[in-house]
Amino acid sequence: MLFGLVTVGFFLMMVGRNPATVYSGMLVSAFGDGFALSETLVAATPVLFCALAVSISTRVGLLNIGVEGQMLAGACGATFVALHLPAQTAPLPMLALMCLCACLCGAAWSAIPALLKVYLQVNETIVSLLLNYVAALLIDFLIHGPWQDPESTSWPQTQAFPPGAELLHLEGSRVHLGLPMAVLTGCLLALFWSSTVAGYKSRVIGQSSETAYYAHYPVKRYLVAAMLLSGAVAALAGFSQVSAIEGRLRSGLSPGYGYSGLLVCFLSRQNPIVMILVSIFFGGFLSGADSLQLSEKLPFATVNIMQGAIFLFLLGSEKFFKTAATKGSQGQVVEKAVG
Amino acid sequence: MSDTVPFYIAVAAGMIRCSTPVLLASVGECITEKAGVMNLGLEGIMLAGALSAVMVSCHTHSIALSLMIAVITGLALSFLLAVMCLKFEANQVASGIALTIFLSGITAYFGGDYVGKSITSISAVKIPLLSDLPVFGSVLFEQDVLVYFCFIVVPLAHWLIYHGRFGLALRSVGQDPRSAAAAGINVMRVRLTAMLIGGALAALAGAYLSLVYAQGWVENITAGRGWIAVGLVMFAGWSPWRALAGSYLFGLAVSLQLRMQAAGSDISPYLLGMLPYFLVISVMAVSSLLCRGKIQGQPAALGIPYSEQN
Repeated sequence: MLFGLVTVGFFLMMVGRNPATVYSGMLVSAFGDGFALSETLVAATPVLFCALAVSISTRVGLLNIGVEGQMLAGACGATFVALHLPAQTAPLPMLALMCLCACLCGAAWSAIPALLKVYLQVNETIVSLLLNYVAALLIDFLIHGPWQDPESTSWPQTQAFPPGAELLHLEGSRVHLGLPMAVLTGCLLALFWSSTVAGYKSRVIGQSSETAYYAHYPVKRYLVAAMLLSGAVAALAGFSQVSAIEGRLRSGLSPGYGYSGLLVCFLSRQNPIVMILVSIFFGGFLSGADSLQLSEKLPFATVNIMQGAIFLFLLGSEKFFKTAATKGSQGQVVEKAVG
Repeated sequence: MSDTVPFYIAVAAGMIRCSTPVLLASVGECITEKAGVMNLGLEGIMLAGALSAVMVSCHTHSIALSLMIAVITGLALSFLLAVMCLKFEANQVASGIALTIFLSGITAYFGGDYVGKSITSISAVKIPLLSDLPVFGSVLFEQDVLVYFCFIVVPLAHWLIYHGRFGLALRSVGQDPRSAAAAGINVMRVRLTAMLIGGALAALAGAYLSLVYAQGWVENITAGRGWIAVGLVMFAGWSPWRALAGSYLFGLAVSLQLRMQAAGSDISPYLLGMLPYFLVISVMAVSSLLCRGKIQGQPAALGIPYSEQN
């Protein structure tokens, strides 16, 4: 991680920026004051949802990189409800239906790679990745076509949602109910994996599908269920974004939250509780980079450069961590034996 | 191509052109994966190849030089990925994706200045005699140099994988690296070579996209073609000839979509744009169905890092 930041620092120097000011600028605009912190939490919310979604799939040994697309599909689902229910609908049923429809859409989106994987052994990573592009095109189609705001034909976006479709906000900031929802999802997942039979079985499947097969676990059912759940959780990110932040569906909904989520999932070693903290860090990263666009005139692409660099170094260093970890556990065994 | 050309010939010629980048990338990936390494940085390497070609073409106006620089970029980047996957035994899927995220950032950053710049693109070369053939002549032999290169590269790749000393080493390394090592093959060197070939071809594919296909740089120019190439390799059962068939199928979908758009079809361009992606997904599914789940030609050690210690 540190290596990654240092490399990006060199890169910044190369293009004639002072890395120290850039990083400190990011830090200030990420955690500097109340407003900065709230923006950080806003950006952390979808990242956390996506990270949790990825971890659900990696837990059973699949890699769902389609969270970006599932999130967009979820946003479409939520938008469908918001636009088609009568505008006077009370907030509670409206939001509940939006949420439900988003989850269904996200799960449907991830069902494609899931079923192809389980029944035809088609690589789920590639299929889910390709579906990301399809989802982005789907949104483009909807906002240029059937769902385009009739009042502003020049802007490709839907009508603004009715007030009842807006997720509850913290007073005076953009922090919304999505954050506690995401944290709750994380805690539930942690609980599920650590203390239920189904959670244990999915871990076994992830680590050795052969063992699971010989133990007569319903492997296929678990894989499909995990992918569907993963899609549904990713869709929650889309739902909370359109409902609480955007208030309508438009393109450019996500600057790659799905990919950030992937990185967060790997960084936290699939531990949902750690994921909450790392997501907040990444939220700071994203919102900090956002304000850098204005202050330092650095394009948003810099975020991808930093994320990619950190990711690469993380993966490269894993071997050393592994050796250190095995040494550590061997040490413990030895100590126990001696004690 | 003038407007008097019949529709089907225009579509067929477009098919050849649209399939070329995917074809180059997937043939390269066939070789890489046969050695047991997955290069999922393909998308990123294509992006980098595309941008570097545009940069060089902008400043020097030399096609040969820009292609060369693109290939060098591809070699360097696949070497980087090889260090990650071979030396540090990192997860191949994740490192490829990480590399792609990184390169999509880098290319978007440095490419900003080159958007809309005019470049020297590669022009079509008519092959005498052959281009006078009816139908096939104008479809196959009024193309540019890189298309002709494709015609050579597929049989060459097939020969490289299935014949000769290197092919044997390549396949054994992909099948069972430990036995290969016991037989005196340098696993790392074979895998590195395979990755370098794949990376060079991917960068060339990117250069084709920017120099011929789009004739300039646009952000995220590949639009998922790298992933499509990876998908086609699986469809192709790791055979360059079948990758050719898959790429032409993909090219046909894209070409049809473009022609229909140009002809003023009522269907939304966004919906038409989904067609190639769905095509690749369904083609992967159908080929898997035909093989009854048991995919033939899959290297047994695909994606598994090899370490010399144990």
